[in-house]
Amino acid sequence: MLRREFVKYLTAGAAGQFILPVSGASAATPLNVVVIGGGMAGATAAKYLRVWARKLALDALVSVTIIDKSDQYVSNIMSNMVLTGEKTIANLTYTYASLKTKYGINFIKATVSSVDTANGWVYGKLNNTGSDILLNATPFNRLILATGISFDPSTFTLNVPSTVYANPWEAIPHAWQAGTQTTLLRNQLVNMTAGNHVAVTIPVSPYRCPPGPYERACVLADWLRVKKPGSKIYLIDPGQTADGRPPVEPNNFGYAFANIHKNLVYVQNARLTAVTGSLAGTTKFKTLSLVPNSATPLNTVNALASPTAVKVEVANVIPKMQAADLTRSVLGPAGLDADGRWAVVDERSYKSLVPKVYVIGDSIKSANQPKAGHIGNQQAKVCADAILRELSNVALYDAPVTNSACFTPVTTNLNSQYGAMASWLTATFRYGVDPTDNVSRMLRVSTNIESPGRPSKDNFSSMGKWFTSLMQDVYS
Amino acid sequence: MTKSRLLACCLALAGVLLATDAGAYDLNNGRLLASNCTQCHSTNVLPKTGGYDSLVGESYSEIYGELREFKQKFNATTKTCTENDPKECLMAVHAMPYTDKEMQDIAWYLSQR
Repeated sequence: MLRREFVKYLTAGAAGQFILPVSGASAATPLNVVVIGGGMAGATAAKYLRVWARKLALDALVSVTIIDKSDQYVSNIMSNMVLTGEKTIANLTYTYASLKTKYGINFIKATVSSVDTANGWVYGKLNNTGSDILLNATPFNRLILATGISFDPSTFTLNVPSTVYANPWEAIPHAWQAGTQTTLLRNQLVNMTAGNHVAVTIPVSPYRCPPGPYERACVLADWLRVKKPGSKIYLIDPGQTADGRPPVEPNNFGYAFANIHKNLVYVQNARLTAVTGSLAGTTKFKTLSLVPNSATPLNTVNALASPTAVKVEVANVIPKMQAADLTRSVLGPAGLDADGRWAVVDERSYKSLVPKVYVIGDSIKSANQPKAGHIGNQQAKVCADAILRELSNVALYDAPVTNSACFTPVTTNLNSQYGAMASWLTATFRYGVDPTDNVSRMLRVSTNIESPGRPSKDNFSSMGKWFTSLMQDVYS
Repeated sequence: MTKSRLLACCLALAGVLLATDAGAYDLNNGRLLASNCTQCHSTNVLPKTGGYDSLVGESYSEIYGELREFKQKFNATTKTCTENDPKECLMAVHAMPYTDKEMQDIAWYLSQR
């Protein structure tokens, strides 16, 4: 007998956890899991529930249905490269075909309106039209909410002429949910007059993809320098640091801001209070009113000390965020944090405070885990694992590990001096007791680690591999 | 084979024996923890097209040895990476959370695929 086989034999005999006779009441209770939201977290949870159920020979007991308003997912990751024309929306579009055919996952295209968690019913508009109907044929006994974010634009006023914008929000596209918003912002950039300016405003934390606004400012600065000579980009940050470098990836973005993107104007400690639209000839200008976010500027480099305004043609306003409306309504105030914004969950399983309901991805309240697709993918696996352990009477893993990794383009392929370069940021997390308050949660095991050295072409090449692999892990 | 690789293999072999003596690898735990690897490294769950190195076909000893090697490149006291090579540093961050037993469980799970 080979050593490997011998060890395997011992393992199966001793642990008895892989070859399951399932015992107890759970054996008679098949799982009917509904996943609302087929993005990075939701699609991963659905896939791994089925993949692992098969490996455990439990697949006959595990039915999974994804409900999403779209039968295609457009990746937020890499979508800044659509703004610069380096990628298209089609490049970033994924379907649920593999999840359906390879893993036997059901898919329903619908807008969910409400959920009866007590009885396991989901109501909404099938194919996003008509009246609300019952969407699931059999009641769920586990519900996973993976609905992402919604926006709270109440922190600033918007006043644009209705004669110019039928929908005033189109004057300030956030492009923080990839798809039509990305195209809208791209078109505004392409059509703007050279020499006019662009602004990107960063929301208060927490928000989806912490490095994202800095990445966007970098690649747009590169694009503007070539495509719109004389144009500047303002990056408006409510946060501030002692040395004026970005709070996220200070080395990489700090280097890029100081040495590469001379047309990027970075303003810290600046909070947006109003956007006022105006017309001058055929140009649609917006004036952004800014006030100091803190009365105490931390630096004299770029921290705003008194109110000011910037006038731009393209205003990419990324509003304050919160858990998606559906998740907040399903959980109710008792299931949300004190601000009523994010879902309270047990980070060992992503169980919410509402029975049978789990929440994963950007909707959750987490002291340390960021909001992003990569870590949402891992949270989904922890959630799927917890659900399957419950089914098979195996104890919950009490110290799960998750990781965050994010590559960010810092220059574009338009850059004649540097070519396309990228950096990365990564961190690992493990569940445990937080010594600061004796509460158990996901703790940061490492500090945030930036790619060492400078942004590089090699990192850019690695970024492609990372993105390809990650998306395969979700949708293939 | 470099000296460090040889050392890693020896340690890995010791790990096999220890884990065997201890009774078992935990395949449930290995499954969960190893899923942190599949975001970037192809396993037999995934098609292998254009991503990072596949772990398919790697032995227990190889995977366990590599994990140990990477973990040693992270300074647990300062919580910083001691490597200047970006790729090595990235993997050091990802290997460092795991206990030795968890690395064994991960290696065992992945080597069985």
